[in-house]
Amino acid sequence: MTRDEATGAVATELGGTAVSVEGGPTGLLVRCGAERIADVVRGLRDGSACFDYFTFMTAVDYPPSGEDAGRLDLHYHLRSIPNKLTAVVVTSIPRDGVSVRTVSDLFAGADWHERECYDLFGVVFAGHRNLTRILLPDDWRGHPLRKDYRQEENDLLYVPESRWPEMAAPRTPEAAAAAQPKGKAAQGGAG
Amino acid sequence: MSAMDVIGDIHQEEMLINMGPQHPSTHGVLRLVLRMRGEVIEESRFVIGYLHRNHEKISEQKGWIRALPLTDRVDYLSPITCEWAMALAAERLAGVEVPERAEWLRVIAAELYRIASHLVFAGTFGTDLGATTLFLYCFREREPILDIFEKLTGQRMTCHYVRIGGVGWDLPPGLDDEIRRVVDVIESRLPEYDDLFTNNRILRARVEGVGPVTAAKARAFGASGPVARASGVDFDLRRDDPYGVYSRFEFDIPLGQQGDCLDRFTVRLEEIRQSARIIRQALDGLPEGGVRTKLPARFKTPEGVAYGAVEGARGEIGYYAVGDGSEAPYRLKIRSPSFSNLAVIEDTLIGWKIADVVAILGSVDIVLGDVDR
Repeated sequence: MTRDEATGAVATELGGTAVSVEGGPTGLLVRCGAERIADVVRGLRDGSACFDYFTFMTAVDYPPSGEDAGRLDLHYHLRSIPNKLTAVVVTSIPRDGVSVRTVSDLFAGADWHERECYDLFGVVFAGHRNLTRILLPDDWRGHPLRKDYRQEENDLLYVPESRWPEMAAPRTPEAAAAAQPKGKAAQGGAG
Repeated sequence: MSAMDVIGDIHQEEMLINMGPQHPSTHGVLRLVLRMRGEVIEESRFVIGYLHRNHEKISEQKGWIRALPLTDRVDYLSPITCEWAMALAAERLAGVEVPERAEWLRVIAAELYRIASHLVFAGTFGTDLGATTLFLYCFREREPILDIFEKLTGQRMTCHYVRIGGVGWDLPPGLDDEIRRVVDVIESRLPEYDDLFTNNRILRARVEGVGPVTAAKARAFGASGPVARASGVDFDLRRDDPYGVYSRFEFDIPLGQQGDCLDRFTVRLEEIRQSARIIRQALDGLPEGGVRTKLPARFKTPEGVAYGAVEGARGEIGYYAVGDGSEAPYRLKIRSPSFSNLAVIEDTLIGWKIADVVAILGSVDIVLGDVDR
């Protein structure tokens, strides 16, 4: 199946679920509304073009500027191994407070990728079995790949009570002095 | 009086086992939390991220040229393919032409490092299973490859050889003969590896039929590289989405039957032979010419989307770039093979015994720098 044949087949099979299907230089580009994302991904997976390989999913953040209210684009990258084609499904969601349905029940591989997207972008996937941070520590604040994320505002990497309860009390200068290495090492080492 | 009357009731309780992040068999900082019933794993959760540096954010801030050397640190056992994938994304986005000779040199460097990476895998996999002999053999063979890279790029690892629009340097005089010699020696020694591993009954008992992954599961998880091919997924970017000049070389793509730990080993061993084949063809047909396209002083990528994916030693390493006309990618997503390959294993461990965990995990050949990025 060539790219054009696959484009036609996908456009027919998806029918009204997708907004547009076009054949780009690297494969198919499918646009759809966020509420139809699972239908579109399922249609690509079970359709005749056989996009049953989940490569990755990710997000792109467009912060508000001027009149534009900003948005988050979600990109789902699928591959058809027999047809040697790729398909990218693109959908847009508002930046805040909207959840999008998970596709981790359709593609097991989406589980970790959606967790990563939640971790770094703050996208909430409804129906995900374990939507927790995956790359950053559990007590991290904010979502660093958002364009308006500022490290300085969130620079509280060390939150003692949440992780190391015995180290919660701040060190007094006396305690710090007592903790200095003793003996030869403290006098400049053995050389 | 029955035994139960003497001792009383017996209990079978669930147990939580924590393995890592500091554990020699997790190949880096990976933490496994396993819920066990007796010796059998009922649930497994992997905790990753201990090596997370957010290369994606750093790339957005530093820009293409300055972020390129950092990609070596993503998959540090196969740095050439990481550089290549990022350079490919930038070249596709900006429409940069790569000189013919540079494309061939990229192939030679990538295949050499693929061999080096597979040798590390074979050695450490053997060590995981208690066969330390193989480790010493593999590292003996890997050393001359690193020497080649020292002569070619000045660095044994983290080479920074591939540049946007070509490669950093041409081959120094005499190095092509050395590459030929080294490849011949490595290939001549592969039968020894079969003797030490594939034909070793004790090792076979630990890996044969253990941890199989079906082809459908590998596809659904997006597993790639030798892990997917061992399961019979006939997919290799060098053939199916030819980048560079790979379409001009003849090579086979070894496939496994069952997708068990033994298949994942034998597939990689065969890939070493195929890489040697490609290197010989590339050295024979190496064209003359320049090795680098001159980029503007301020290299910028236009608006658009590009995906540069290459077949790394662990599978599909892809850089998905969104350009906005500036010197940095507006968004750069790193699709790393180990991340997806590890997700398969989280699911595969269920139902296997705790003693098999090290064998299954070792057979995937993860690099935690690649998982965590």
